[in-house]
Formats: sequence, C-alpha cells, structure tokens
Amino acid sequence: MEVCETESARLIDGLAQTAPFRFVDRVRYLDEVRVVTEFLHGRCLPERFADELYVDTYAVLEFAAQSSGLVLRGRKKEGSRGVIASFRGVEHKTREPLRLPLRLESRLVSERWTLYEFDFQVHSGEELAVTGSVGIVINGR
Amino acid sequence: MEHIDLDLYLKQATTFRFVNEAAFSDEDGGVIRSSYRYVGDEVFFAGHFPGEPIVPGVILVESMAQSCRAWLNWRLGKKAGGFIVSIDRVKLSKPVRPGDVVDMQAKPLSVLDDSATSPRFCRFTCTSMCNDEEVAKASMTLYQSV
Repeated sequence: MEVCETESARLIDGLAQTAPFRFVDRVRYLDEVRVVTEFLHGRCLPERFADELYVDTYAVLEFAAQSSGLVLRGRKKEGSRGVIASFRGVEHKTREPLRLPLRLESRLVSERWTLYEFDFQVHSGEELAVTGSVGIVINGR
Repeated sequence: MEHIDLDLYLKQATTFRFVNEAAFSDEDGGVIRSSYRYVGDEVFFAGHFPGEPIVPGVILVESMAQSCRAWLNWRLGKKAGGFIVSIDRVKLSKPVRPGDVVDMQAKPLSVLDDSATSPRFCRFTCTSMCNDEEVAKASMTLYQSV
C-alpha cells in the first residue's frame, strides 16, 4: 500500500540502524513482498561526501538492504534482527557516479528458513542505475 | 613484496579509509595483501547498531574494494577515480566488532595494459579473515577512470 509521510517516518524510526548509518529517507510503498523507498538528501552519509553529491556503491548496497528489511518487519520476533548474508549480481548500469535522489524498488523473491532474498532496482532520476539481489537472514528468530 | 603507499593511491581520507596497509608481490601468486583494524571510533558504529557496534557488511565490501583500488592506482601510477561496477557475489559470514583486525587477500583476475589511456575494468576475488575465520568473500569488478 502507499505510505503517507507520518507512516513513513514511523517505519524509518523502527529501523535497527540509526544516524549516521541510515540511508532510507522516505518509504513510498510497502506490502508483504515489495517496498519502494527514496534516498533523498544523504544527511546520514559519512563526511567524505560533505562536498560531493555522489553516492558510492557501499551506500547503495546498504540502502537496498535497509529498504528490503522493511518487508520483513512482520516476520521478526522481539529482539531478532535482519542481517545481510549476501549480495548477488549487482550491476552499476552507468559509467557515471550516482547522484541523489535515488529511488529503489525491492521485491521478495525467495524464502528459505530464515534467509530471504530480494531483487532490487535503483533509479537515479528516470535512469535505471543499479540492479542486484540481496540476501537477508533473520537472526534470533 | 612491494608496499603500496595508500596516501598516494587512495582518494579516501582517513575517516573513510578502511585499509591500514597494503602490499603486492608477483612472486606471492599475484595477491594483494592488506589489513585494517577497526578501532571503534569509526563514524558508522554509532548507528550500526546503537549499543551493539558491529562493522556493517557493506563496509567490509568497501574495505576489500579500497585494497583493490589502491593496487589498480599503484599500477597506473596515479590516484584515479572509479567505483565498483559489478559484484558477482558477496558472502558475509561472521560479524566483525570494534578492536578486530581484518586481513584481506585479493587476486586480480584481469590482465591490465599499464599504458592504458582509456578507462579500464579489473575483476578481483577477495577474502577477508578475522581471528583465523573467514568473515567475508567477494567477487567484484572495479572501474577505473583514467
């Protein structure tokens, strides 16, 4: 379902990661298998980016993982946490560094025991910028 | 074994540099050996996770990529830009915490033309070990703008 600004803020507040290592600025859509998020201003990016507006691959990977983790919120028990287990088939589609804002769509594509795999796509403006898969394990479930 | 001067060949400043030392030798099987000690005051620990600091898996990937980048730039003889252009596979197997030392090995799989004047790509396989256990493994391709 579409997510209003208040609900988006509540969902982001519920992330285990906090500033300065939180990369989701807005949740646009969320259901049991799919999430759409935005990475808008980079206030949480480490200082190396203070005078550069580009976003490095590590931040895109973490953005994908944090966003995908939102889909798993209902599957976690109290005290359990989703951790990244793997990335697969990540491709940077352009030869230019990525710039904010970024929009990400991630979809749950497989579920085995406590391992959940998501396919994600990241757009920079209208352009498809990065695609890939992330595997998340729920620890302590 | 030739030591790679990180100040000369890495753009990342100390606050976002996750390699303390790196060296390369053709006689050592053409492997880049590097290491980083997570002191505990790195900026990301405050948010990952509050009260329970763990090195983010993506920082372990960044650290392996920086080691490869230092070697690529050392080969080129200048501090060139670039980024990770693709990742075939990354596997993160164990948590790394403040105080831990991560030892990395990376093997370049592409043959490079060192006189190249156009952008180039290099594929690497990388392994990160901590306390004699594998903590991360990656296969990735770096893009180097010239």
